[in-house]
Amino acid sequence: MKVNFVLNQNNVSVDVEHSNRLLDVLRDLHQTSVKEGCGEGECGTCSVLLNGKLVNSCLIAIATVEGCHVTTLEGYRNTKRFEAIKKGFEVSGGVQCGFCTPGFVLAAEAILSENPDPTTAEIRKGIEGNLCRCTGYQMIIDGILAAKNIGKGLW
Amino acid sequence: MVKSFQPTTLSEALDIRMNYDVMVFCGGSDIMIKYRSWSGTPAQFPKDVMYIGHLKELKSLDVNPSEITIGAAVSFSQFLNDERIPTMFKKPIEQIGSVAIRNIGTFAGNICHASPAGDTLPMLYALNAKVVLMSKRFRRVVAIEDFISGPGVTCLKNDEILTYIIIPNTIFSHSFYRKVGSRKANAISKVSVFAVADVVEYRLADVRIAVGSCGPIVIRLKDAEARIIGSNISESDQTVNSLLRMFDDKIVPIDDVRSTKVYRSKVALNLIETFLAKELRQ
Repeated sequence: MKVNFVLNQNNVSVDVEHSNRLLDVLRDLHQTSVKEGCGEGECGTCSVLLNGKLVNSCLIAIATVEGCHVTTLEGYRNTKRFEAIKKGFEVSGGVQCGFCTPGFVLAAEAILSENPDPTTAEIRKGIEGNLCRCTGYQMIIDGILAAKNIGKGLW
Repeated sequence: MVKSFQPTTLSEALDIRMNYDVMVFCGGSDIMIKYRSWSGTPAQFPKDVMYIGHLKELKSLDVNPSEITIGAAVSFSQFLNDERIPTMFKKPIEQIGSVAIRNIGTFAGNICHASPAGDTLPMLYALNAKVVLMSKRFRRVVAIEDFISGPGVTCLKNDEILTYIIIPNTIFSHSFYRKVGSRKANAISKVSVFAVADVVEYRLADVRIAVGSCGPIVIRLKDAEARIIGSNISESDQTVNSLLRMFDDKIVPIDDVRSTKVYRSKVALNLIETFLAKELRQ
């Protein structure tokens, strides 16, 4: 089936099976920040924003994406908000191997866009669906706390 | 490859349901995992699929003083973000999966999946929730405990769609929810207990206790509840004990990958005791 959607503000049209995962469609569109970790909604490495909401793209059938706005890190990285999160992660050591990082950055955007001044507990809740095996999470939490100050007024 | 249907209205969806043998796809958070295949390949659904998650009629969330009516396509996040919903009804929902799962998962999917560990179910049983089942010709309203008859088994007919969930908007003085899982997020429950009570001048005017993951279906013992309704909460140690014994007889968990029956029984009884003997007296 033909599916039309907006990927990072560009109209795209793909010809795929209706039950193809958004994850696989995005990787075929060279969105390599979107990775398959567990493939069952546990790890968050395939996180994208679907109409501004954080979702696991491995759980999204492409048929349900018709007409939607999809944001991957490839698009998000061109924003000022990304610069703030990037800086926050840098100063806190929030990136080690980097595999989980795109998912965490988009989870951070989802947290801050709902609440520009989250507490540590709210940040923990907001990243509950993203797994990181390197940092032990504290540096990522510090990174998001730093980002909210660096990017004050952006959210 | 199986076909897909994307109706534009509920009425069209009911037509399709009547004329074709289709699987109904709402949020997809269970179904996409259940039928996933190799990386890079489409999910392998066993039959034709009808997508209904986009239908406007099913995205409505109506709250009035007597009832809360949740459309089948209302996500858990939409429910949690609605300020009209009492906080006590949000407790089990905010612990489901993770943010990303709650953004797509639905009550309707959780109910139709009918897992013994379904996170919405103990609350729906305790609150006497009902489900609305619609086909082209009929509409019937069924109590949640009559809808689910076993793991994965419901009385949904081939031409029906579960369209709405109705929760009586009752106010209770006490509410309690504990989900025991391996971690706080993205955990399938080992044991869960949802309980509510209405205490008026130290007398138990109403009490309801529902236990999940401890048997093929959610356990709620209305006769045991009836036995302690009317008792004085500060003098009810004996009644609490007799109620715990009744639950002990009815809790029939299994050993599986997540936990053991011994652990499940013990924890379930401890949680019920905590609610009756501690929380209610606060």
